[in-house]
Amino acid sequence: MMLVSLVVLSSLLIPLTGNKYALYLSTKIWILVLYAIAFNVLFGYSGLLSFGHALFFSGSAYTLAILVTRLNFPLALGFVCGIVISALFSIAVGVLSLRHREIHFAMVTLAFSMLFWGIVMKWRDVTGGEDGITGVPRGLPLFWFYYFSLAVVVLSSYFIYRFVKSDLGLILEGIRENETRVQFSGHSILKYRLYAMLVSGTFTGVSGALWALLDRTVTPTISHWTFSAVPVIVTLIGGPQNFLGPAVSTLIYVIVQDIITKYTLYWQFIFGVAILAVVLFFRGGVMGIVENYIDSLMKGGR
Amino acid sequence: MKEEEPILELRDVNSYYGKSHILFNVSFEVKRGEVVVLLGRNGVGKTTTLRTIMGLVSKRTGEIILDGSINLIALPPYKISRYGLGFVPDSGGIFPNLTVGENLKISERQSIKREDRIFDMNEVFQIFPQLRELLKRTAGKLSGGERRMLGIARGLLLNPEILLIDEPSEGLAPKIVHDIAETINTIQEYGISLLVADQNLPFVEKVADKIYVMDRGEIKLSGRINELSRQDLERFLAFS
Repeated sequence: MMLVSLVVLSSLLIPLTGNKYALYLSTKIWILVLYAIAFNVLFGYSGLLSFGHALFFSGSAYTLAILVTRLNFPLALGFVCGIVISALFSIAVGVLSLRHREIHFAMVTLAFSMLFWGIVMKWRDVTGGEDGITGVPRGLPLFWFYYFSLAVVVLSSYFIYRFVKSDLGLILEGIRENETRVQFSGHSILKYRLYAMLVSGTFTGVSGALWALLDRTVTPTISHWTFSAVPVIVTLIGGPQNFLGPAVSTLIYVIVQDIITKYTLYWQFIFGVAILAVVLFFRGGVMGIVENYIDSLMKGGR
Repeated sequence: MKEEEPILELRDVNSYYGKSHILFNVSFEVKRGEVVVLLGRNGVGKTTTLRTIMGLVSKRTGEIILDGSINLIALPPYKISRYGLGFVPDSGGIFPNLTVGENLKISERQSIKREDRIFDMNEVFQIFPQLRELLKRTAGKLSGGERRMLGIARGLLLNPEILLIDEPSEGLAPKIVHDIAETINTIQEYGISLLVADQNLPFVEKVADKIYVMDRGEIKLSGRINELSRQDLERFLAFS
């Protein structure tokens, strides 16, 4: 907890450096942190691997962009509508997919997100097709937008934290461990999974809306399945069983990606190797390694 | 007389795993306040009978009547549980990566609405004082006996009318088996009916009011504990 407040407090200083690129990159990191934490409500806490979170992310981003640039909605209203659309999407997809699990659930969510990607690519009049939508206003200078994003991400993460640590979150963990046992404890697993889906999808929508404002552009990249893979990758690297695991590795992911792309176009290759290494040798991810290290320090101290 | 009414009655229940037919016209009843034991070797259908009652076997036919009125045969497990059936599977049915406290909480939550509930955390700690000391322990690290007790405690927190326990004595030291038998007698004193599947005869003799002997998916013999001869029972438990 100390460490978290330290990181948040020190990141308050980033805009004061005056480095625009660092500011842009840090905002992007915060947004992706929320994306990963929201995704992990389903993956780490409920044991459901969604391969279609780009749907909720881009659903919100596109809604905001379309409403604001094409229909002249006020920015704040567009922002809220984007999030509401993600919530609706997550309920709809949840109702249709939550009877399935494991690979089947992953495939159904992937199918829905690819369906949306198809619409985005083909419905040029509204979505701009491959070119996407440009000219989304940000509403705030980047300096203040950074603080706005930071506040939204921290508050949202706090809410998600309270959710997964509540009685409801406990039942979700029970479902992850053993569905049958939760059922004969008198709980309908479908209902609880739908709650998880709603929380996960809605906050993914929050991050998507922030993304549209930061980039001032939305392109089909964020609705493609490769963008659904981003939280999967960072969560695996960071450690799904730790609330902050996905957040920590998002930081690593964005910075390393930024550095590697300066030298080679094949940055995905490097990440592929990293994921293999983590999955094969460090099942707990980065946070698992840190926890083990702290444990051994404590034992050594005694 | 109220005690004579069956709390649970199975009529011609059949169940199947895929294409294989496991239970053949199983019929029996558990009267209110009784401890009924399903006795039989491994693989004769005791566990399947309990799982069928809980709705955990997807293909099942016949009638499973609760309290003379509600037919459970087509209901999903969570509804069956809410009607007042607690289930403790042979592994204890715990969540190994959660703590003992969290394990208890998952069961406790849904019973909040019931006004006539007997068991809350405190009452359960009266029966299992050792669980209070283990609250923060990861359930997967408990001993076999502790797991079994946690499983039964979870079942009680649901405030069931009838508690189904699968193989409570399996793999436990004689001293622990004795403790579990005492526990079952204590639970009976609260007025809760029990349906227990087991094959440890000394244990069964300590707890049972009535015994149904199963073999190859059928009920072969039944009677009150004092009506059945030990030889008959042993004949069904011996390996053929």
